[in-house]
Amino acid sequence: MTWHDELAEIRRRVEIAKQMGGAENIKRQHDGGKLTVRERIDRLLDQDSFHEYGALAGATKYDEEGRLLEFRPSNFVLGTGRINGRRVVVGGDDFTVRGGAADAAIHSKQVWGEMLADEHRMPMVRLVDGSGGGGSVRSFETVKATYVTAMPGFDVVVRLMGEVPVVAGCMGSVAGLGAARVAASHFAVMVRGSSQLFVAGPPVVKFGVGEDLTKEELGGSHIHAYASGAVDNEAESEDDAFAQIRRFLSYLPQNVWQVPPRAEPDDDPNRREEELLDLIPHNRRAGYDARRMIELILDRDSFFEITPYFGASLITGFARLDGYPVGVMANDPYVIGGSLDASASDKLCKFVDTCDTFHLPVVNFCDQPGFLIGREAEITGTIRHGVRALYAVFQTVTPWVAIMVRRAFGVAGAGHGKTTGLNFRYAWPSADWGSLPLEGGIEAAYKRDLAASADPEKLRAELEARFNKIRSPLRTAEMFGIEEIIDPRETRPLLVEWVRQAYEIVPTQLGPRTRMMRP
Amino acid sequence: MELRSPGVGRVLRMAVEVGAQIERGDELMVIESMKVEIPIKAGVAGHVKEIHVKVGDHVQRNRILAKIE
Repeated sequence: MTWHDELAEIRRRVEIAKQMGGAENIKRQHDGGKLTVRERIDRLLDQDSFHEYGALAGATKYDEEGRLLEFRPSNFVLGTGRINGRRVVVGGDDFTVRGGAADAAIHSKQVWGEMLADEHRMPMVRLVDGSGGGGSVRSFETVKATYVTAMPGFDVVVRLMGEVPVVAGCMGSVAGLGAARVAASHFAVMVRGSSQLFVAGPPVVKFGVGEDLTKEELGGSHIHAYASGAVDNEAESEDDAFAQIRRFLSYLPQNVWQVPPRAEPDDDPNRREEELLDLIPHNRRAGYDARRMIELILDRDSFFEITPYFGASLITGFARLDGYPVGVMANDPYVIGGSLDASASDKLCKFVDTCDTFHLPVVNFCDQPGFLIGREAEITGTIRHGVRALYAVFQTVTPWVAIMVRRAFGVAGAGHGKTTGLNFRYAWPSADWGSLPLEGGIEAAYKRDLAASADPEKLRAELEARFNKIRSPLRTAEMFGIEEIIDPRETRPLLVEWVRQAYEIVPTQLGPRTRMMRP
Repeated sequence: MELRSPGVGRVLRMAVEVGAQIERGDELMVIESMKVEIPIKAGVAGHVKEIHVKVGDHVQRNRILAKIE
């Protein structure tokens, strides 16, 4: 006796599962410019590396003899596979089966996937579509009752962010639990035009608050990658989203017990770029291209920008130095002068927490005029979000270096590094700092004198001239208030030296942080 | 195409007038924000159809500054 018949039955059901919601629904998915969940998984992973779990799960109907009449596969496809040769857990919603809603899902499949990532310490990749396994009132009909809303397995979801990289692709119109599964990640990407994200979709919104909006108006990538920060990056296509997910993961270890993976260095560690000599204009009011500065200093073509449009006054991303992965931050003077507003502070928190969780050393190019000022800045809670950002910096354990490119003013400026204790940094000759900038600061400190003066403009000019004389960073260096002022062209060789040392320290700091990060 | 203010600030100077022909990347005006001069550049070529601000105006983030056709 062999088990041929049983094996044939298993194969038959697996084949049915691969048909997903049927030809008609698949066509509809393709007509909407979208791939099916199985196509997505194939394109995301290294070729032929997918190993599926739970293909046999689904809704069935049997006749009285116990023969299978109907098999509708679960609308959550789960398994492991490889990305750049390293194993990950991947789970994707199948929109062709009941729009990805919970009434067609076997919810323990989702939870098991998260537990697999947790216990086997592998990155978790979620490809979310539809309601992402969330509720639909149709389930009430099946269960014949309502239920108290709950988040099964959410404790694992929460723990994961402190242990393994969690990445989410928002692949369609995603609402409720699906939206939460996107946001509960270190990196979330959505596809321009074909994916939307919201707490509740247009019909519920129209009923609840009277707004009559299209899906795109309510939660397109122009909302979430730009204004809300609910996702980090925008992709031009599904393939672009998969490429971004693969790239994001390439800088990170498999879990917090490992050292981030070094790539074969392909750039001269001693490269000195002449362009750096005059990148920062002498005119303090003029901007410069901060992304160009990053390109010139980090390994060539190694910078992957994360959250480029939200909180845009702060540039954040991963890069490599002599092949070693690092987190990079720089202020963008062309966006609100590079100051920290509530959005940029929020972005800083998540980015620095992610770097610290995965032991990525941080390079901070500081040109910080301070927290954003003005009424709007007050209303949006700049000071509280800003202070949270400072906490994030001060709570880091991972090695940190600041390059003092230009300004460091006020409380926000003091967050360029852990300004208590050894605060490792280099300054450029363009450095300019203080608790208040002279422009504006003079008006505040000499308000009475200026008011009493017969010629306030003349007095202001005199005061400015007087203060400008002591503004040179050399005066700060005389007091050892800055440890070293360097030729900007020397930045790369010095950072390479630093990163090599940093990666001597990283192996002594492995494991989860005592304070696990929040999304 | 609408040009919007990238952040809070003050209009420092104007480089064009209504009707001017412009190329992509041309500077239309400069906004000063947090003591840094921020050039507002055309994302497309065309002519300036409307200008909604004048020198000295305070602008909030996202305020429409000009329209290009």
